[in-house]
This record gives sequence, C-alpha cells and structure tokens, in this order.
Amino acid sequence: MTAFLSYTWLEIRRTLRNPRYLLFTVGFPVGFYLLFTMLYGNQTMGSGAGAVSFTAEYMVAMAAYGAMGAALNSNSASLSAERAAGWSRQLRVTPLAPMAYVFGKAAMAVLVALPALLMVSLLGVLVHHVQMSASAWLGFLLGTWIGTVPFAVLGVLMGYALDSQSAGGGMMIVYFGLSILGGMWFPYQAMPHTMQVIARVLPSYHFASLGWNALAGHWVGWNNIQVLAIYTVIFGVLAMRRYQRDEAREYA
Amino acid sequence: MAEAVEFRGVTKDFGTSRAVDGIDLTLRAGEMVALLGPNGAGKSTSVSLMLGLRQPSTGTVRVFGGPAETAVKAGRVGAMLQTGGLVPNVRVVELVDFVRGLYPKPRPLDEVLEAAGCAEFARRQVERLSGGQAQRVRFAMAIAGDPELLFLDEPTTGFDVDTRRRFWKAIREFAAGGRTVVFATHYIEEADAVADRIVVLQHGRVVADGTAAAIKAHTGGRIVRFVLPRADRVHLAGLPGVTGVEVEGERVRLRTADSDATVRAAIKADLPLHDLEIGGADLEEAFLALVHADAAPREAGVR
Repeated sequence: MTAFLSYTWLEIRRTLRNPRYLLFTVGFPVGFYLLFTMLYGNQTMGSGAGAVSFTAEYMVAMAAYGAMGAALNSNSASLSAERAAGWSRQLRVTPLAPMAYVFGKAAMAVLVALPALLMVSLLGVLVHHVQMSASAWLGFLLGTWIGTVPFAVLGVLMGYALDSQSAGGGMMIVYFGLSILGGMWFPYQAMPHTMQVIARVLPSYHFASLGWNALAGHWVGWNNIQVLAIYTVIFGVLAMRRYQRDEAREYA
Repeated sequence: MAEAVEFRGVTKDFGTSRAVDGIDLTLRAGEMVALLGPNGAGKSTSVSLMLGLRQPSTGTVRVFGGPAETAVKAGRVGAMLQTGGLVPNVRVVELVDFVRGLYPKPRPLDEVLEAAGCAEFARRQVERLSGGQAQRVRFAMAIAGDPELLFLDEPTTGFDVDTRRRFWKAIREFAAGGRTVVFATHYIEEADAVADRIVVLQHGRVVADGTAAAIKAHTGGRIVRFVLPRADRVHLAGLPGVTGVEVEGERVRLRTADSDATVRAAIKADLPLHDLEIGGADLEEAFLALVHADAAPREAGVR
C-alpha cells in the first residue's frame, strides 16, 4: 500500500510539472471561463424558479471540462509513450507490484482533476460572486471530483489500447468530442434535438449534469450516477483486458 | 556458497526464433559474472529470464532458490535494463528516492547518488540530462535498494572511456560487500578486466564458462609470431596444430593448438624465419575462436 501511494505521489508531482497539463487542463478552462463570462456574463439560463445565471452554469461546465480533461489526458498519451520507452518495464524490476502501476496512474488522474475544478470554482466565487447553498457546493464539488473516475479509467484504457503515435491524436478526438457533445462548451438546452440525444448517451453529459443538478438545487442525480458507474465498469473491463493482453505479450 | 541464479534446461522461443537454446547454468552468490556474446547471442533474453520479465518456454529458472518474481518482489534484486525508460518531469533525486522507498532495506540516499555519480545533477529534471548522465541515473536506480543481486544489461553503452572506468570502479565497490553482479556485454575487455567468471553465449547456448584465464587456455591455444619474408599462407596453414594464419607484410601470426609441433615443423622445413615469439592467446582470440567454431555448423541447420 505504501508503495502504491508513493508511486501515485511520484506521478502527481510529474503531472503537475507537465506544461501540457497546466495549459490544457488548468489554463484553458480558466481562460474560457473568464473570457465567455465577460462576453455573456449578464444572461440567465432557463426561467422561473430553475433559472440560473450564465456565470454559475458556465462555472460548472468549465470546472467539469477541466476536471474531465485532467482525468482523461494525464494518462492516455503519456502512458502509451512511457510504456513504449520501457518505464513500466523498469518498474517491473523493482518490488512495486505490477498492478500498482496501473492503479497508481488512475489514482493520480483522479487527484490531478482537483486543481482545475477548484480554480474555476474559486474564480466563480471571487469574480462573479456565484452563490450556492453549502449542500449545493458540496454536491457540485464532490460530484464533479468523484465523477472523474470513469474518465481516469478511460485514460488508462487509451494508454494501453493506442500506440504512442496514435495516442495523442486519439486523446484529442475523445477529449473534444466528449466536451462539445456533452454540453460543456455550448449549453445542452441550446442544442438541436439530435445532439441532445447524443449527449444523453455520453458520460460527459451525465458527468457535467452532477454539477448542474447541484446548482439547480437537487442533491444528486441518481440516473447520472448510474450511467457513470456503468461507463466505469465498461472502461474498467476493457482496460483490464488490454492490460492482460499487454502482459501476455511483453512478459510471457 | 549459496546459489543466486540457477538455469536448468532453459529454452526461450519468440515465435519461430529460439533466443535461448538449452542453458544450464548456476551462478553462485558473491560472483561477478559477465555474460559475453555477440548481438543476438541471447544475453538480454537470459537477463530477462533471470529477472522474471520473461518466462522460459521449457526448463526452470530459479533466483535465490525460488521464482525470479519472488526475489524481485522481496527487494533482493536490482537491475539496469538496456531499454529501461526514464520518464520526464521528475528530478533525479525524486526518482532515486522513490525507488529506494520500494525496497525493504535501501541504501542512504546521499550514498546512492554519490556512488552512482549523480550527486552534482541530483536536482535536475531527468529530461534535461545527457545520455551518459541518464545512464548513471539508471545505475543509481538499480543500486538504490541495496540489492543482493544486481543485473546490468550492456551498462556502459554510450560511455566514454573515463566514465566507463569510474562506472566499473563503482560496481566493484558495490560488489565488494559480497553481492552478486551479473552483467551482459559485448566488450571483451570489460569482461576480461572486471569479471571473476565469464559465460560466453552464442546462438542461445553457453559455449564457454570459466575464468578469463581458463577460457583463454582452453580455447585459444597459443600464438606463434615470427618474421618471415615472402610468407606462404597455404604452407603455413598446413603446419601441424595451426588453426589460424594472419600475415601482415613480413609479420606472421599463427594460432595453434600445439605450439611445440608447429615450431618444430617450421624449423624443420627450413623457413628463413626470425624473431620467434610464443605466447598465450588473449581473451579476444579465445572469444573469436569460440564464436566462429560454433557459427559454422549451426548456420546449416536453421530452425
């Protein structure tokens, strides 16, 4: 267990130093949030009792976008490149358990989702005075954090499924696809019907919805959680298969 | 002495090619062993088998009396792999300290950095190191846990002469505490200078095993040198005992299995030779003799 934690900590430090991580998963959501709330800051989304300000709605969207990106991207491409370079092989000749490598990577991915989530939230409060009840804040922050688990697992899956050449491009397609179609860039309510149907089958929509639900005053969306749990299991099973295939090829 | 590594009837196939072709080998604790052979002789595969990175196709591999993985998991083994990847965005000191933390009884951090020659760039990030520095970091990672058994797969590739000398000095200091060191190399001088025991591999088999002196004596025979104007290669090759002829201008160099008979016959034939010298073959001669003797018959029977 100590070995697993110390490996996770090594990976966290490495990721926080990675300029790509800082730019794409912290810099972009923060930048987008400041830019678009400056442009459309006065608008209100929805009407009546469920109406929320754009600054709050977009805070949730960008926090989710950044957290998802961190969970997904801190592994996929780099994991693939590191395996090609022999890093996992090097770890294999130390007492670190082979599975600790994979779980350490996934744990790191979940933990490095926090900076983007917290930064965007902090800006929402400081710059745009976003207000929520304590329980809504808790639901939003906790939901958006724990909700990164399926994306962390997806990142590991992609790191094993793609080779180091295609991993970078594949990761970008998945990342932007999930963000845009999941309603993080443009509001779900403004989407045409077909896109809404697509959004509803994507984990990213259900992930962002956890925060939107909290914002609208609902504690949790059980349906969203169920969908995310199913995706976690699917990605997990696929990742495990890829991992075992890799084991059979590299270490038999 | 206790057995550090034991191979019994080990073969390893990759698809249709056989990398290890029936090795029986026992490495005792405290030995400094060189696995010597040309590229593709099965050195790296053998090291992978000893580390549990690969499983034998047939036969058994034991490390400290059990499966290799068990020894690795127990922290009794350290290794510097040929393709051991270093990853970016981490400082040398963090990486080495992380590896130390995985072992039950690691060496003190400063000592490891000092021994591996990493102290002066310990704060630097790994991706900013030169090739030679990165190699030293990999050595530091290999010894960080103070393992009983250390594997080095072609460790000095890319080192200049000076760095190489310092590197072997560090290895000798490491081995002095009764630890076992196994290194794969294709540099004959290294095997000769450093190892107590040399295992020569060729086509996945052990073709010689012993001290450098024993291998030289056993396989190389003797070298007879003299000066001879207008030397006739064919005639010289026909002298008794001769297994190799080299002629450079007037200088002749004969490799022979029986130097007495060769010299007697040369004198008897009344060759106008002078400056006669007889000496032992060096390890390189022995190695080349082994590798070439083994190459011919096996090339005919490719699997």
